[in-house]
Amino acid sequence: MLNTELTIKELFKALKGYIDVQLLAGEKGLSRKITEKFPNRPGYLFAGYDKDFPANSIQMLGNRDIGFLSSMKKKTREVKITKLLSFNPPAIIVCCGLEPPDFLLKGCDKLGISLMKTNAPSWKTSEIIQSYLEDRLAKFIFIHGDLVDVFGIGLLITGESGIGKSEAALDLVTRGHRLIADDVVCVKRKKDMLIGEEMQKEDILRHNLEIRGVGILNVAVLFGIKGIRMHKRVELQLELVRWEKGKDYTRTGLETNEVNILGVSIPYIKIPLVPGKNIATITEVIAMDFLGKSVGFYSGEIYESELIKKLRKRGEKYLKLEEDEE
Amino acid sequence: MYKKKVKIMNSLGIHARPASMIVKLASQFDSKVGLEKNDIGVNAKSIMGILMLASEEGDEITVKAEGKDEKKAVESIVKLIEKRKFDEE
Repeated sequence: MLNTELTIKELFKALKGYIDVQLLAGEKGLSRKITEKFPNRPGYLFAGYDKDFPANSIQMLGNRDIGFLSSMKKKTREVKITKLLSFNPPAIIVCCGLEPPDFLLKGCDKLGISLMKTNAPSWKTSEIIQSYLEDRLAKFIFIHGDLVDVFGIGLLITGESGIGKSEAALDLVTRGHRLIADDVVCVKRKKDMLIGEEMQKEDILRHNLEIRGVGILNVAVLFGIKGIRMHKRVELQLELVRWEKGKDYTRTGLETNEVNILGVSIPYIKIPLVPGKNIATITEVIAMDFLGKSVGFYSGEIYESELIKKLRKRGEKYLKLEEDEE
Repeated sequence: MYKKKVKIMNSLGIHARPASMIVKLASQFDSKVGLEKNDIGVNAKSIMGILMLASEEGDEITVKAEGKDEKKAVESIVKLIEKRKFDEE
């Protein structure tokens, strides 16, 4: 599992894409690293409660925080600001176009803590910072496999080298499904969801498939824009395995297996390969079955319950015959 | 598990041809063979993963293998990268 590093400089640059933001003081602090996803409003700290202070969070000063500070006497205000700076937060941002107190400006410059200012309201700033940080600081791993969007279901196809993962993905793309990544899938955890994308960030190198005997194929060029997708929620793992005699495989579909990726459980299906088996068709059916299950239609279970009902009825018939003493 | 660090020596880095040479070589061994750069690990028997590492001249990568012939696998790949420079120079 990997964690990405993020500097305040990067965050500052990214924020510029969403809201107007300027750096007021503490340029030295731009190289600091941020590890905490949630911005914090230091109101409680100003009110005197300093326990459990989230010192690793970006500190956001909105209307109320600045208002509270200005309502204080100069000396108290300076004590409060000194207290805030003593926690050495990664950065401070003042919202709603408010002017930060001079004492804070000077303090930030002295200690090398970046102080930013924006005209955006605090709710919006907080939302943007949080969603950006959640994305950038998300835990991720690389999984050897292919990710394909089949009928809107993100299918992660895994299996040993040379078993035919890329071929299965190609088959699916020719049937109109969309490729997200071949060979290496970068899987990120976002809240309780897994998001898969290609490891390659440069567009020109994206969406290439390697087919043994043919070489590298660019899916976007060969199949057009409809054949590709940038990222997709990973909903199901499908492992292709060589068929082994005597090994037991799922037959009824009554029991479901799960696999845990970054703490998120998703259904896991093992498909034994034998000559003549059409993986693309099976994959499509698996996706359709998954869709069915997500609206409460479990083929295996329905079959089982109908069968039990029927068997019971038959039992009743026999009982009637036995009871018939004419 | 056997692993070894190696520096990319050829000036173009690992482009398609060297990547295919690595795959060809790695596939000759029964062990699980992998390459790692900046904590990102990929399967050495599969070309796309190796290409995605985008290894340039001077980059340091780790070659690792696990299995019966792990030592031989790692040593021969290291030799391909470091000594043979993918037969390019």
